[in-house]
Amino acid sequence: MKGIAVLMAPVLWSIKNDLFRLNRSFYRKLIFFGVSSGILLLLFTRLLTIAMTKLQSTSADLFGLLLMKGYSLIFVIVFFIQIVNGFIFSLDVFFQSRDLEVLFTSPVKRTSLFFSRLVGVHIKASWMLIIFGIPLLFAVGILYRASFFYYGVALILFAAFSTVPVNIGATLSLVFSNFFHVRRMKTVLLSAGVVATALLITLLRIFRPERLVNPELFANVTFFIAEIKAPSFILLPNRWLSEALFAFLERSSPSTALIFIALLFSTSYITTMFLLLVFKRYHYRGWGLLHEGDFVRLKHSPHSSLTVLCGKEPLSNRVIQRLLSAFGKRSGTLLRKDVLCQMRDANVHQLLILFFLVIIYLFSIASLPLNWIGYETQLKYVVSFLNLGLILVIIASLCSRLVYPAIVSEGAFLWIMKTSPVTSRRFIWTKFLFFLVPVFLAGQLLTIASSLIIGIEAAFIVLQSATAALLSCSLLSMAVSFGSSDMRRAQEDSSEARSSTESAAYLLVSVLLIFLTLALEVAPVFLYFLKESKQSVFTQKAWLVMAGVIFLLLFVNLLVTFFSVRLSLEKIEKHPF
Amino acid sequence: MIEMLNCTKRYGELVAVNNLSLGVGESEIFGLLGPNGAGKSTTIKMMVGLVRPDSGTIKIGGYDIGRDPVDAKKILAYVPEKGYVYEKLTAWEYLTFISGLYDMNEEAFRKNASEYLGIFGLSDWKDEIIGNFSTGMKQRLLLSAVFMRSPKVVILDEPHNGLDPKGVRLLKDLLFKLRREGTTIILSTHIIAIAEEICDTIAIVNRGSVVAQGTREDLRHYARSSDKNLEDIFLRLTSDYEDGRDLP
Repeated sequence: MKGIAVLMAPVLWSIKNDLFRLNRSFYRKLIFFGVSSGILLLLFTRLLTIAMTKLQSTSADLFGLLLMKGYSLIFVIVFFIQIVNGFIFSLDVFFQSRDLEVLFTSPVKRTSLFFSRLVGVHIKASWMLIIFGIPLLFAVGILYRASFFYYGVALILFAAFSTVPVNIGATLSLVFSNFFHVRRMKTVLLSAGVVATALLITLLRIFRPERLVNPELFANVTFFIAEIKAPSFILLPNRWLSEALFAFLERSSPSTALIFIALLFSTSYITTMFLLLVFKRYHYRGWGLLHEGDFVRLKHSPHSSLTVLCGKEPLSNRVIQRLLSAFGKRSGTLLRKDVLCQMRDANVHQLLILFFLVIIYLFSIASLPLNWIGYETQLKYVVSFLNLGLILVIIASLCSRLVYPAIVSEGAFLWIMKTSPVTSRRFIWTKFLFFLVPVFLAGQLLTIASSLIIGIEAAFIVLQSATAALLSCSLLSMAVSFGSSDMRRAQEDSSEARSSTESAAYLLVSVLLIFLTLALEVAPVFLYFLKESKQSVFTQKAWLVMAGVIFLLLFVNLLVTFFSVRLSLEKIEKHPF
Repeated sequence: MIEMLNCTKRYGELVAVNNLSLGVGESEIFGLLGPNGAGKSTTIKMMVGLVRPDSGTIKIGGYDIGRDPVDAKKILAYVPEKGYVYEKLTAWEYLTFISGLYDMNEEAFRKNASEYLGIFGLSDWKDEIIGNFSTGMKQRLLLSAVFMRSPKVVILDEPHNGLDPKGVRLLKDLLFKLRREGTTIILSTHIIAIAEEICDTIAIVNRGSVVAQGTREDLRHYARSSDKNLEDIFLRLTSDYEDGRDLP
């Protein structure tokens, strides 16, 4: 225990110093996270409660069934997401932390090292999930008018549930690290994860399981939903969690709840102990393999000899140079460097896979059963509205996955720009322009293609396309701005870029901006829906509302873009060297 | 060529550079010597525009680095102590990138870049990804990127880090060559022997201020010392360490 306390001390002391020495940046972050997480929690909880109350008032039987199925499905998804999170974050924490070298050469017990690191893995893997999971637990509590005791128990149970898959993911990473190089494994895994999802979705779309359950064969919707199977095998922890939670909510027999709680905690304990054994057995070898890898990289590529012999640059380089010459020498030079760096980064494979996913997404939209008699217009506009929300989330993810780390990594090389005759303004705008092209194109492709497939009116497509374009600019500029704030991290540990507080802050602010946009777009969607269902034309008032919404969207997004770019410039000017 | 007037830089309560003034002329190698934390790196970072002074002005070739940074940086070259370079570019691509930033003439770039890659022994590695380079090779590449531009002012922060003896010798010869061509060179180093051997003027910095400046003879005179080597003068001027003290 003393060993663990010693190893955890630097983290705790850092927090103590930030707290008591009144570190402004720490307090700014604290307030920012407190406020934005609070807003998100309230917003999600409120929306869920409204939706659940609405469903409950429609049909109590239907609601009970839906709730059980829905929660079971969500918990099983969470379970598998946490396995992947556990895998990826344990690679970071157990293998790529810079302080490991010091710790390995000190007389620290392996068990202490393990537990101190495991806390980090669990926090990194679960904090986001907890923010988005709390509304789920709280909304159902509000609906069932649960006591305060429920909320405390629900959080503890959710945490216990989450440790099981994270431990499983960490165990897999420790075992695999003995056979594969950690850095390559991480890249392969990230790409493989997307490939696996893509394949799964493709298979689902090919087999179209919805054909197997035809709603018209059932007497009513309740029977139809009852027939839809959600994975709720008794040996799966998601079943234990939902059983325990609903036992509390429905105030059924405490012994049932206790059995499932005992199962959750004992499994959590057993997986942790098993992980400790695996750590002791495999960790050191995997860590050694990672460091051996650094020394065997140096080799001369045949490509380079060929290039030297020919005395020419590769054709791809010459093509890039020719294409970018239109931007002037300095901006063209910056863009060319960005193209080359991005092409050689692991991210480029993910871009290709993302493109593949876009195709599948569109294919899935095309397969949606939107022709339910009597509901065609409703479904068309509800789906198109949700579709816009999803596309905006995809744009934000693209910025967070590609733009943010690329900006952060520039921190290490910023000295080159700052000592050269290139202004910070040119540097930032070049970055913005470089990333705007793929982000904008992806957004437009998704919006226009999916809207055409859904079959909404041309004017509405224009509105959605304009929204996606505006959000491409604002979300991208925010990624540049948050990335600029985090540039100092590149000199410390770029592998941490994706899990930093700034990166999380970016995602939180993006979700808030998307919520605000969707809230603004509710009015035009509703007006279009009314117009189509009544087969009427727009009144003058309707046009005014539409114009007002467009103006507000334009104003908010231009303001966000302007301030983000300005903030980026300030951050670059004040970057500590 | 370089004028630094009453420059001060504070980091919170700590005064890193305290009302420092320096002047360096053309064809001069100027050495900055000082113990760790003396303010050498901050002084250099202020000169190249990485850090803005709280007060005071710095002029490079007549251009104020604060007011007219683009023109000042056109004639300036800087080699940092820890120079991160784009690891995903090849050596040649990196040099092409630098030539683009400084708007170099294409022909001059090709000629000079090839020449300096050859001088620094990197010709065979010009199409290799920089990520595969050793620390010394990266340092040689950084120096090639500086020398190929034939800048009027070269500022080097601990340039010998990572270089082998052959590299150190090569750098020294190149600095002498540049001086002959009229270039102003500012060098910060911990290696007193190097400063003694190649610098025309040496400034000893301690606690953010210049405690002594001049040739080796001037410094000896200033320290009122009969010490023969610069190390003794340096220690006398900057530290509390006394010769012959019992070490643990």
